[in-house]
Amino acid sequence: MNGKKLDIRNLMMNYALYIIMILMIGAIAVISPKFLSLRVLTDILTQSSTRILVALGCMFIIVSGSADLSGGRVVGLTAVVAGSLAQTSEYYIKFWPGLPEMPIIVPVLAAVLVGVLVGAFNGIAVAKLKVPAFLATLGTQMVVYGVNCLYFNKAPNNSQPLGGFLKSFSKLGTGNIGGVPYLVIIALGCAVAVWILQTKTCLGKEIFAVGGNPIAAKVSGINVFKILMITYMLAGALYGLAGCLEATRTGSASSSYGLSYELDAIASCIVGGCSAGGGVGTVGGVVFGVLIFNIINYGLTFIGLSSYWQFIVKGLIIIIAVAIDVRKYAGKD
Amino acid sequence: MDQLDVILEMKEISKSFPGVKALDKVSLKVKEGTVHALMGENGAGKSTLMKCAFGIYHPDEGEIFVNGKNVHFADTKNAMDQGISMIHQELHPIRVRNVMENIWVGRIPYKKIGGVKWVDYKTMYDKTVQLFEHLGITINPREMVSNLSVSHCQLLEIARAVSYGAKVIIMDEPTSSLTETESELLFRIIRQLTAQKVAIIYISHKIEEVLMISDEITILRDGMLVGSWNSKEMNMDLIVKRMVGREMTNRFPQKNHKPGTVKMEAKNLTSPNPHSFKNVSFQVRKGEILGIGGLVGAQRTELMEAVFGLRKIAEGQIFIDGKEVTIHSPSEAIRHKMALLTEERRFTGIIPMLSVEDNIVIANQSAHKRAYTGGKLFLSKKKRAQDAKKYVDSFSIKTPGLKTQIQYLSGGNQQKALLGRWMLINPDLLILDEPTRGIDVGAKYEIYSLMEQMAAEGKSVIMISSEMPELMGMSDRIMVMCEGRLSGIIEGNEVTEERIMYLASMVEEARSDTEKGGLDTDER
Amino acid sequence: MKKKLMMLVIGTCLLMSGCGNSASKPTEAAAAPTEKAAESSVEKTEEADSGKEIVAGVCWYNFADTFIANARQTLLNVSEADATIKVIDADSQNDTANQTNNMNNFLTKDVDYLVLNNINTGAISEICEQLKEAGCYGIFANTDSPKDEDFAQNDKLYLVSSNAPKSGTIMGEALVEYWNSHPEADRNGNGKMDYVMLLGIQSHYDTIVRSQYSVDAIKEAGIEMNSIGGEIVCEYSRAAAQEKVSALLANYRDDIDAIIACNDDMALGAIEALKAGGFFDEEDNYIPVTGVDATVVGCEAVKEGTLLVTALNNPVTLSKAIYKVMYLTNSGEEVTTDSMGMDGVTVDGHRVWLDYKKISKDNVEEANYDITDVNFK
Repeated sequence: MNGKKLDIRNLMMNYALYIIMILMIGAIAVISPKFLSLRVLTDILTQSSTRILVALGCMFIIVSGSADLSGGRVVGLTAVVAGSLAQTSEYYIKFWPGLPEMPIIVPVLAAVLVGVLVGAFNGIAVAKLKVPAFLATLGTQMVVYGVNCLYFNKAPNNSQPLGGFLKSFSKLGTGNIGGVPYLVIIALGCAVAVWILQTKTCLGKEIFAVGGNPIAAKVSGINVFKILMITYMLAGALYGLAGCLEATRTGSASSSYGLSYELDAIASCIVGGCSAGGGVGTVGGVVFGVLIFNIINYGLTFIGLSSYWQFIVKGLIIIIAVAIDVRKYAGKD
Repeated sequence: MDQLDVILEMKEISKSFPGVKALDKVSLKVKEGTVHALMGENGAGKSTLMKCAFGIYHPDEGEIFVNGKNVHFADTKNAMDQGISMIHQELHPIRVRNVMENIWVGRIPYKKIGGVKWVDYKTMYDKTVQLFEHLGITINPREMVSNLSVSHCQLLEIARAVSYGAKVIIMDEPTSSLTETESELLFRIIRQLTAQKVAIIYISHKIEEVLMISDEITILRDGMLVGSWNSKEMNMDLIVKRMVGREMTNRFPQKNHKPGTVKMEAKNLTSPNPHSFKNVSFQVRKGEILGIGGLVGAQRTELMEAVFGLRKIAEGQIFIDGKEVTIHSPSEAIRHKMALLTEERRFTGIIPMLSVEDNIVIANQSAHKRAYTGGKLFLSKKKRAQDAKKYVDSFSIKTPGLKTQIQYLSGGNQQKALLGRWMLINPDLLILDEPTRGIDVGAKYEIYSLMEQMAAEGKSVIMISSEMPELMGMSDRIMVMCEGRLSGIIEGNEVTEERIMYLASMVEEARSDTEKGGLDTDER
Repeated sequence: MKKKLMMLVIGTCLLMSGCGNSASKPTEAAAAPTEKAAESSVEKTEEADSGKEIVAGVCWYNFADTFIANARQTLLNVSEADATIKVIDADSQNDTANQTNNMNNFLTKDVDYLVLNNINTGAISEICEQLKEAGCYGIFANTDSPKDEDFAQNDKLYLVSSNAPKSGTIMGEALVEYWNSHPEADRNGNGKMDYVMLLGIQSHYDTIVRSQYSVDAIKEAGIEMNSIGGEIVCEYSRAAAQEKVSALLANYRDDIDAIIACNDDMALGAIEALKAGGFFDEEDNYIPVTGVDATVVGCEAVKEGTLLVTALNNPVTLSKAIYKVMYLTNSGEEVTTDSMGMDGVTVDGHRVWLDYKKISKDNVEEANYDITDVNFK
């Protein structure tokens, strides 16, 4: 990127993942030409949608130089919260039996709010109490799961997967406008919003500065605590939205939802070019990171290859991506 | 003394680093059983020379002889095998282990029973006691190192060096973190060692101390040998003169500014950290450049960071334009139109992976969001680019573009970009911490010009510097600190390098007022 | 460190769950459970000989599991209502090390009954020996059976378990029935049943028996089979199953004849994907999907006609049977099919088998169970 001498090696380095992705799509299409269809594209985008939201949230945290392991469990909690508020009155084990049917904005906002609260909890632990982010959010992960299990086990539900959602709620996850699923529109909308926030606003610039060099940012008059709080809360909001959409998409919710989504999200961010050290990361890269994993998942299932292979390919991609990344920076140092 | 054998000889050693000739044909002869002091200003090449002697660096030219035998040290282990040991300024003992394990780490005595190597604690203890008796050290070998004072840790290091059979021990600023009493203890051990024909190479800035303890003095300046003398022939003035001995050239811009009324005043600033600054009061006027001199560990950086709200202040007051202010964070300092160019450019200045533009506008943008957004949500690209470009042009920052990551710029250009960052907030008080460290002569001049220009506009500048010439060449007044205390403020017409050095190493005076209590606690 | 932290958190959760539940309906009847238990044991001291409260320690494999959560609550409810035997329980958190610790704690406390929802299936004999030494009754609950030798050596050893393979068989048989009565079931006309198998966790006992016995039942009926997609691991997750089936559907839309899922959640995920793919809206585009567990949402799907069949392992029956075995042995009675006297419960020596119940459109209302039902006699 820096010099003018872009030789083949540099080119390969910079675009290795794109090359791998194109090769994979090519190979799958050769085995089964149906892969290159609109239906498959829509499917992959739909399946990526909630993961894009989680990964975008995760990107905020990684760019600000922090870490977050609580994302997956927050998705689980908010899926259950949203689901429990979106049941029809006829459903016979309604989570809140007395509750009237409400417009779907209520469960959506409730999920987002819960996400923001968990984010604030994370932010206080990390930025105020100075607990290393890795441990603080690991703690949060457990607390959130525990809270979710308690809530989920409440009578009369007694740990039954939630069902009987309002039509309008399910529609959010399964409907489309002119063939484009709502989920995809929401995910892309959020991606654009995050992109704008990151590149066009003061806050975005300050998040990058804090992630790039927290001390320098502080010296430059930035309130590092405030920035970290905001990033954790924004991430929480995105997790919350993802959790809610996960419930609409599957038509159900249970406390096991979102398991290990945070690790997928972190992997997507790193593969998408975020630096684990903070200060680097683009929305485009992260969306690409999510897509490449989902293409692998989808494509290998599509051609009927056993799940075990998917783990192997996914793992290798992570290692290759990071190895290339390390080399990129090492070469310039 | 001449009849003593030379144990270590370094002949015409040269060593270059990219862009700098750190050592230029420097020779040194150390005789057994003597204390040989090595002196010079910061950057004179003392440490480089000693690192060559200890096998950390490999000289480009020259030879090293130990006991008359030509040697090449591949690494420090090699040097230690030849009887050379070095005690660094910063000690790194294993704190969670006891004294004797620290001494014998890596060669712990053992008994082999049933094919397994068992630690032989008894032998280890006996050997340690023996070693300590030999040196006159009274530390319990079973004491945990975490319970030891700094000076005892140092003695531990010395004992370790002796246990390796060291014939030459290099000590780098050994008393920099010791109290007077602790220093006395160290000197006693040093005398004990010399009596046993061990040679000590003693690096120190403290002239009195050197005159007292050393037998010979070698002085370096700008990587070159000034000469070696018998300590008895030397005195403070002579040493300072020979250390400085530089001709002042026209490296600084013409002075056009005139100090006016007081801009900022600090009264009795004291850090919550007992080892940091204490009771420091000073003023800086409008249109004045105030220099701050001192040695490493004088707490100048800490003081200025505290003024800027980066560190806590336990006691004291700060007045700006006669009004008392409290500053808890840099953003508050910036609101008072202060700016601080920090010492560690890499660690606390640049945000490496962000662009030159981002790095330049970051502070001003955070302080004046509206100016960049016009009250709307989005930042004005144009305004950002204009602001950044203004300083890229006026400071002639060499960069491929505004969007280039700042980490790819040279040190001097990074520094100028950071200055741009601070100029952009249009400060009334600019604090510069070692502003020219590690940058080339051309960039230095530009930074000096900027300081001059600021002062000429009636702004105030405070500059911390360890470089004598720049301190003297730029400052209207120089405030000298020593170990957290103000040791004196020299008015422009009275400034001499000797006076600065004298104040900077004025350990006694600075300390005597407050640290009377607890003097005899450490002895024994 | 991590483990300690986890224990702490879980511990806190347990405490809280105690509080949380007391506000909810099933335990309302026993708002002060300890007092009540204490009262009744006082009464007992006067009549009974030992004077000691009978205590049963229960190690559940995972409180967070829906089935376990219900079984656990039932057992606590039954014990509280009956007050003959006091039940205390512990969560193994799906970790054998935790289970071992919990078990040892109970043995140290000298419990009279140790109920083990065992996941350490490799160490059954060792556990049996340990129980024998401790001299307390041991009840293996809903898990692999100890061997005959183990039973021979210790007459205080019992097994109360559902017949796990049966759940697979139920799915297989339902598919055979469907296949034989619907000529259009062979959608691509290749004469084979092209099926998708959605697995839970590879080494998981339920996954193994459900996938194996369902396929076996179909093959035994003389139907040729062809697997599509190989081993599809969805970790019992609805979302994962939905995604995998969606991908398979894009490629094998006209080939898939049946989907066998190792639990209802995955089956419902598959149904969700099929619906998105345009299935189930008319009579002729139907693909049979089978599941296990008869969860509430699963039964809804059965009612709706999208889920062909599910198998009910009734947590209430399990816990009542466990309690009944303890109750009978405590009063010196023999455990037989008759003395148990419960529907779908058969006794074979010291093995008490609970039948999985097939739940299809015809009997979906029978899938309901009530964890507040405390009548075990």
